[in-house]
Amino acid sequence: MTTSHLTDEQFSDFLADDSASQEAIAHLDACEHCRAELAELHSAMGSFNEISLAWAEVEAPRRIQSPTSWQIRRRTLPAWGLAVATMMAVAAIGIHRELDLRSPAVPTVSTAEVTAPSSGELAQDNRLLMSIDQELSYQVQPAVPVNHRAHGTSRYPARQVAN
Amino acid sequence: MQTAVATTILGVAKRERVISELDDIDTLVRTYRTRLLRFVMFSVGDEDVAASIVQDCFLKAYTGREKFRGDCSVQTWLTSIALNLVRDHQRTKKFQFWRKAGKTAADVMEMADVLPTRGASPEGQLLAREKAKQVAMLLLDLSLNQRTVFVMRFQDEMEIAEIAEVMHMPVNTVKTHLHRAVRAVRERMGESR
Repeated sequence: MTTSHLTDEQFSDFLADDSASQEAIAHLDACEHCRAELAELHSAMGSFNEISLAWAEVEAPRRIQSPTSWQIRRRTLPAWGLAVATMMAVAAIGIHRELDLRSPAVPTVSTAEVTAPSSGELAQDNRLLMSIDQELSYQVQPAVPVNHRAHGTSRYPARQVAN
Repeated sequence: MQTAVATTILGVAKRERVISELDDIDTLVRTYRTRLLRFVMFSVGDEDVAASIVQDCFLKAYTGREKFRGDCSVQTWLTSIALNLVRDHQRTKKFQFWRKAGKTAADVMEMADVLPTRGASPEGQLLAREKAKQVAMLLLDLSLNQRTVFVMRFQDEMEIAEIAEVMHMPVNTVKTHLHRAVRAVRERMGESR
């Protein structure tokens, strides 16, 4: 006959229906206090387990559903993938807006690429333009008389109109 | 040598079988949601939060099923995922607010009031509900580790070694938490007698 009651560890073994020591079993047989306490704990735990399981059986089908394919896909996409996708979307929007702001079908050349022509090149261009102008003046005549123009002010000589 | 090879082959076969079980998300949810919800409910004490955590647990398990090594049961593996989510949740300010406000205790009390106990007289049902409430309220006063170990051991009937694996704790630490939890419950129930 022992004077001390069951320890917490021995109570734990009995509650879990684990193999209790011979000493603990002998004490339980002899000690009414420990038997009453264990019976009360057993009963309370039994009620708790029964009610909590009944609650979960009712609530689980109502509250817990299989994840949808959308949820699974969203979780499967890694964080870096999301970041890359976001950056690509932002870049696409930026490029689109940039193209909208520019004049359509007119290639732009940056000012850095434009170099000032030399004086020799300018003179050569001017000579070329003047020769083309003179050539055109002799070959092409206006389709209608331009009588209101003052002689000498026109770039083109007055034309003889046949009656 | 041959025994080792055979063991490896068996292990791989078992893992393949379990992974194929994990591939069927609908069956996985139907099979384990009840026990998982009960476990999480008594960890966080709030049924809405518990449902959300269990839902997230299944999603996490399904997307990470390739990581399952097959060296424990699916139930144990799911419980460990749920426990990590519970720990994450308990670090949030929202949980701490509701804990102070006593919301968790109210939810657990409501649970016991709503449900009938099977095959008992009205007096017996009333008594059973009172006892269940008492245990539920006692659990909320325990630390998270004590409560988790207590629920795993006496509600989910898990072995000590299994609990140690899920909680990433040495077996002796699990035993210490369990015995402290049992002492607290004994003391509180003794006070109420």
